[in-house]
Formats: sequence, C-alpha cells, structure tokens
Amino acid sequence: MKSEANNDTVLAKPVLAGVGRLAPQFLVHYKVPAILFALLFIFTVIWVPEFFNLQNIVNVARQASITGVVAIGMTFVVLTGGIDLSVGSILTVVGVSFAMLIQNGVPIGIAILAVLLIGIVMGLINGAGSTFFGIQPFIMTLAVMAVGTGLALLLSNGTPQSFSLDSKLLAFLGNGSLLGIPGPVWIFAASAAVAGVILKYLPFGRFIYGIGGSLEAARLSGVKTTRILILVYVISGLCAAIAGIITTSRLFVGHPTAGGFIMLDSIAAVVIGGTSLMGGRGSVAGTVAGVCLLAMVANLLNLLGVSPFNQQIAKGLIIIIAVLFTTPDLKDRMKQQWSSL
Amino acid sequence: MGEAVHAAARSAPLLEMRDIAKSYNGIKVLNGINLTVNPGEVLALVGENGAGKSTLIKILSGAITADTGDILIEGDKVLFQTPHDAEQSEIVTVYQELNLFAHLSVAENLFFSRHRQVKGMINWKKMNSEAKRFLEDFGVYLKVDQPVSRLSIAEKQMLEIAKALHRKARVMILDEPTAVLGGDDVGRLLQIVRRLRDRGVAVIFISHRLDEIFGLADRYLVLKDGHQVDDGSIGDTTPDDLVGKMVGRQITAAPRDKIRTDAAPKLLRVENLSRKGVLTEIHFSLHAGEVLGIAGLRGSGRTELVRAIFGADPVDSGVFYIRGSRVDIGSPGEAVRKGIGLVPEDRGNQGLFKNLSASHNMFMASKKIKWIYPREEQNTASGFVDSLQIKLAHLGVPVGSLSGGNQQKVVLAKWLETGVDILLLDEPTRGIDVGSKAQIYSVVRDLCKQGMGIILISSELTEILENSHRILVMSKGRITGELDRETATEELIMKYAVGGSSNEKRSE
Repeated sequence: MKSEANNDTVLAKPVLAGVGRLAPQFLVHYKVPAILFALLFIFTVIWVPEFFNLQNIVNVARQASITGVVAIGMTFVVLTGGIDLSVGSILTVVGVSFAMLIQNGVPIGIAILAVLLIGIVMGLINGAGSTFFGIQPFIMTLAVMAVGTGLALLLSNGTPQSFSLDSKLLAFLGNGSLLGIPGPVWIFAASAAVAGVILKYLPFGRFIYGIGGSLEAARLSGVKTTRILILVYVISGLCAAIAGIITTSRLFVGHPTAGGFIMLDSIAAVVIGGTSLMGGRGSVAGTVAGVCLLAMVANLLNLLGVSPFNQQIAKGLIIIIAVLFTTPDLKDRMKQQWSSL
Repeated sequence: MGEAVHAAARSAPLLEMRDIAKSYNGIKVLNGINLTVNPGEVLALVGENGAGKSTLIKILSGAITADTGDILIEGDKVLFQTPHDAEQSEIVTVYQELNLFAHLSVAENLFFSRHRQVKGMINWKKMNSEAKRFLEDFGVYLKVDQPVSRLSIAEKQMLEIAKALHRKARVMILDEPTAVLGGDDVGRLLQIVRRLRDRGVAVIFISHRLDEIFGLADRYLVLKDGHQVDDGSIGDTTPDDLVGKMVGRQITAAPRDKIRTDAAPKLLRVENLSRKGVLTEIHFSLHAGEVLGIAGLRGSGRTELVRAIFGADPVDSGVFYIRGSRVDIGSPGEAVRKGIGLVPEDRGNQGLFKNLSASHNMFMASKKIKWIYPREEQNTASGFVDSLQIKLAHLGVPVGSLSGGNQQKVVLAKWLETGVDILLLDEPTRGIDVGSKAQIYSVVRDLCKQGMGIILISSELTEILENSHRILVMSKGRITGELDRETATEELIMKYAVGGSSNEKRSE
C-alpha cells in the first residue's frame, strides 16, 4: 500500500486541476444558462432584495438540500439512460422507518445504518429487475414506487410517526448548523463532491457515461455493465435514503407521504442541469445548478406572495424554459419541426 | 413524362449544381463544386471519407443549405431549405441508415403516408395487391404483408429504392448502398439500379468499390478535400487512375511479410466450438504474428464465430486454449482480461460511444487504471492520434462526428491502449475510404510484427487475400476450407463459401 502522504498527493492533484479548469469551461459551455442566472440575480436584487436575507438563504439552502441529495443519485441513473421513479417512496419508507426505530429506542447510529440499508436494498431490487429480468427501468421503478408507498403506509398505519430525541447528530442532520452552514447543506455538498469525483476520476464513472452512450459497446469493451447498472440504482436508493433521514430529522416526524413531489423535482433538477434523459451526457455540476435554480425560483415566488397554486404553474413553465436553453441546435430543430407540421 | 423530359434535357441538364460552396465554423468543406446529371444516367460520386460527398448530398437533399452556388432543375433555379423542398422536386436520397419502419409491413412502408383508403379507412387488400404488383414490375419479389424487420439488409435496401421510385423520383441519390452487402446481394442491388436508370431516373451513386463504379456508372466526379478534382466519362479513366485522384497519392499494396506459422507459437486454439443452429464443430488455431482471414458469405457464421470467442454470445460447447493453457471465456470482460479485443462489425452501435470524446472512447476498455489523471490521459490519447493518424479537431469532440475511417482508428486505439494479444477484426474497413483502409492494414501489419495474432473477417475477397497469412472459409456455420496464401484464389474461396467442402485439405 501507499503511504498516507502519497495518497494525499494522489487525491489532491486531480481535484485541484479540476477546480482550476472548472470556471472558464463552465462559462463557455453554459453561456446561456449563466446569463439567465445573472438576469435572475439582477431581478432579485431590484425586486426581491429580502431574498438576500441570510436567514432566508440558509432556509432555502436547507430545503433544497433534500431534493439535491436525491437529484445527485438520480443523475447517476439518468446518465446510464435509465430513470428512478421510486426515489420518493424510498425516501418515505426510510423516513417512517427511521422515526419508528428511534421511537422504539434504537440508538441513532444503528437506526441510520439500518435505514440506509433499506435504501440500498430497494435500489438493488430496482437494479436487478431492470438488468437480470430486462424490465424497463421506468416500469421496474414504478412498481417499486408503488410497493414502497404501500409499505410506508402499512408500517406507519397511515399516521405520522413523531418522536423526540436529544441528539447532536440528529440536530446536525435536521436543523443544526456547522460553521453557520446547515447540516443538510453540508451533506448535499459532500454528496455532490463525491459524485463529481466518481464521475470524473474513477473508471466506474467513465463506464456510466459509456453505458449511457451504448450499452452494447460498453459490454463489448469488457465493461461489467450489469454490475454498474445495479450499482447505479443502489446509489440512487442510498441517496434517497439519506434524504429520508434528513427529512425526518428536520421535523421529528416520519410522515407516510413525505416523498410527495421529490421524484418529479429531482428529475426536473437533473434535466434542467443539462443531463440527457437518453443517457451519456450530463454532469453533477449541472444538477447542482438545476437544484439551486428550482429552489431559488420557488423562494422568490413565495416572497413575491404568489399563491402556491400559481407557483406550481410557474414551476412547470420554468422547467420548460430552462430545458429549452439546454436543447442543442434549437433553431434548426424548430425549422425542421415547422416543415413537418 | 418520357418525351417531354428528354426534350428538356437536351437544352438544360435535369439537375445541375453550380459553384456550390459550404463552410462550417470558417472551414471550407466544399468549394466550387459543379455537378450535372441527366435522365437515364448514372453519375458516380467518389472520394475519400471526409472529401465532402456527404455534405454535397445533404445540400442536394435539403438537409442543409449551401453558402453560395445554385441548384437548377431543367434550367430553373430552385431553393432547397428543407428535405421537403427537395422531395417536391422529386430528388430522393437513399441513405445508408435506412429509413424504414421495422414493425410495419412491406406494403405499408412502400405506401407510407399514402395509404390506399376508402372513405377514410385503409383498404389493406388493395394496398397489398398494388404493392406486390409494383415491386414485381421492378424485379423485387417479396411477401408484402411481412414486417420489414424480417427482411435482409439487401431486401430492405431494394424496398427503400422501390419506395423512392414509387414517389416518382427523377433524381435518386444512393449513398453507399452496397457497403453493407455481401457478394450475391451486391449483384441483385446493382441490377435494380440498372432498372432505375433504364426507367429514365438520374442516379447519383456513391461507392468505395471500384468494380461497381466501372460496371455501372456512365460518368464520374471525384472530390478531394472539398474540391472537385476531376470529372468525366467513365470510359476515359481506369481504376488505378481514379484511386490516384481520390487519394492524391499512389497506393501500392504493401508486401506481406512471410511468417512460418508452423514455427510460431500458438496464441489461441479453439476446439469443438458449437452453438445450435449457428456454429458447428469449429476448430482452428491462431499463431503469434499471424493474420488469419475468415471468408464466407453473409450469414455463414463469421461474425458469430468471433463473438463466441469474445464471450459475447453463449455457446453450447467449445474449449479455448490461450498460449497452451485451457481458459474459460464466459463474458467479454473475461475475454479482455485474457488479452482478446473485438472490433465489431456494427461500428456505430457496438464499437463506439458516439456521444463521447475520442480519449473517453480510448480508455473504455482499460484494465489498468484505478484513478484518472486527465492530463496523462490526454497525452496518451494524443499519442494514439499521432501514431494512427486520426484526423480530429481536438480530443474533446464526440467521435460520432468523425469520418468512418477515423472512428475505426479510435476503436483500434481502445484495444491498443488496453494491450491485447489477440485482435478480432470483424469487417474493419466497411464503409471506410481507400486511404484509411490502407492505414488500418498497415497498423495491422505492424501489430503482427510485434507478435499479435489477428483474426480478420471481410466480405471483400481482395482484402482477405492481400492481408491474410492463412484463410479459413466458412459456410453455414462450419469451416469448409482452409487455404494458405500461396494457393488461395478468389475462385477457391468462393467454391468453399458456397458450400463445397475441403475436408481433405484441413490439417486437423
């Protein structure tokens, strides 16, 4: 084995190189989204200055982190050309189980490991179903979503499971902060960093893009495609489980319908971030940007006093607009479509 | 239409392109191209991949527009802004990737969007009988109610041409229609093209196969690097002359280095390899430093054989020995770890990751890497770009945008990076221009010198004969003949390929 110092340099070199190159490249590839972001920023400064209230930003970030962690996992799945509809129900099952384990006096550390395992197992089922049995990911994860939703209701008897526990770890996971930054934001940032490194610096990540490009070409390059596809769903399940723990820790309640819109929001964030649903194209950085954009806009609408009903409509429009800007060759495409009308 | 068209043709050509130019990002890909074609005439459009043929065709089919220059039909200027405009002018392009609906019937494909209707309902009986009559008139005999997915590639191509003709094509552009066909099918297809010509259609024919060009075309037009190098009547040129103009340099078949296969160590031995209905009792050996050619018609089991060796398909029986020791190859992953690489027949879907960069592609089979250093990787990748003479703007471009020859070199680089001993090449030069072909075979020869063993499948017998040290011929899933390079001829190979056995010649 290598010495510790050696290991450090091994890790530091590519990470630093990556950071150094990130900024200019980002501006070149994402010119339009970057300009939009700037316009949104100016709009906010002029019309909704209260957005920049520190407490508000901290709250928004805390809320966005739950969707964010789920969206990170979703990015892996979507990059292979798959989709995971079960993330919301995994979040719910995990949230309810976590609450009930703590209710029953299980130490928090063990409870966390146990519920993370639930997420991993549900991901395994998704992965095995869509590889070994050849069930399309959309259908397989739809089925697991239904089962998970039912399980959560069954476990909780349909009622929210509240608990109280004085634990520093729990506080950090939910409402606490470290260095002024909320715990969930730390977790989101850490997952994004780990995911980014995996996709950029590990062969595993490279193979994920390859599978998204052509599953058969990857297999004929000797890539263990089945293993990677299963792992990708496990990662998504694990991320959803982490989000479930955060959700429950924030409210001290395991709610049997907590998953709600998380699946749609996370897919929206991934797509807004420029990841192609066909697979093979996209990035974690894009997903993080997508999560931030969605959360910021939702908060702005809140601050502007737009009703929750109108907010949903606005969200839909924003998804469409954002995705339009990541569609390659939009002008040519429109011309082509027009001629086939 | 006959009379009128011919009368008009005398004054102005049916189709004329004048001084066409096109640039992408400031790089001129076409410059001052003049093309004319008349009814009942076959114009061969030739040039290496990347010479600008595809761009020219795209302009003619309305998929893209030229920067400058005019398109004239019977002397009248026309403007093609969409494929629909070109179709209105009865200019039809049959692309290599066929645009047929796999799950719809032959008749439906033929009449698509012009279904025979009675009061808004589709009249299937009428449609089927009309389709049958139309196809048979044209010399194509197919069951018209079967789904297109059941047709062979050649049949699909004939259907595509018939479909275009049914839409009253006056100009038909055929983009390498024979590139994916085997011997017999090529003949059938060329016969169909002759019928097209005899019906007064103007045909623009693209092919890399010189024998077809000289057997079919009336005139030729050579493109090189976006310029019109030469054009004229096919009777005034020779194959060597034409190749010279295409590549701008003389290509000579490099002499093969002799190896004594009986003395060279056996890299791979295959015994009793069978798969029900596909492969029957295959046994052979591959030596270090040898190119073993595998010839046979399409469907003879050539592709299935190399896929079985690579662990890509399950087999019923078979024992593999690598360097004398017995090994199991249950998956492509195992094959790669044992030092075997496959360059598959379907380059676009099975060999390449079209949306990914060249360097990303090259490291996809890598066994050594645990952590990726982008800079080192770029260096290695640019090393392959130099040594294989891959032409690309920069390492980050998606390989889908490269020409066929450069794409294939990227696939080769993938296996060179991995460091394999045994390379299985399945139709490595299909749809690849003459220059890249020569480069790929020179790489193959170098690899042999370094002691690699190579299995080469090709439908082009000249390629097999020129590059192999030894040739196995397959027919109906069996090896029916083994020839060494001194005794091999095209006639002998064809004899075994159509099923004649040569058991007495097989050494084992």
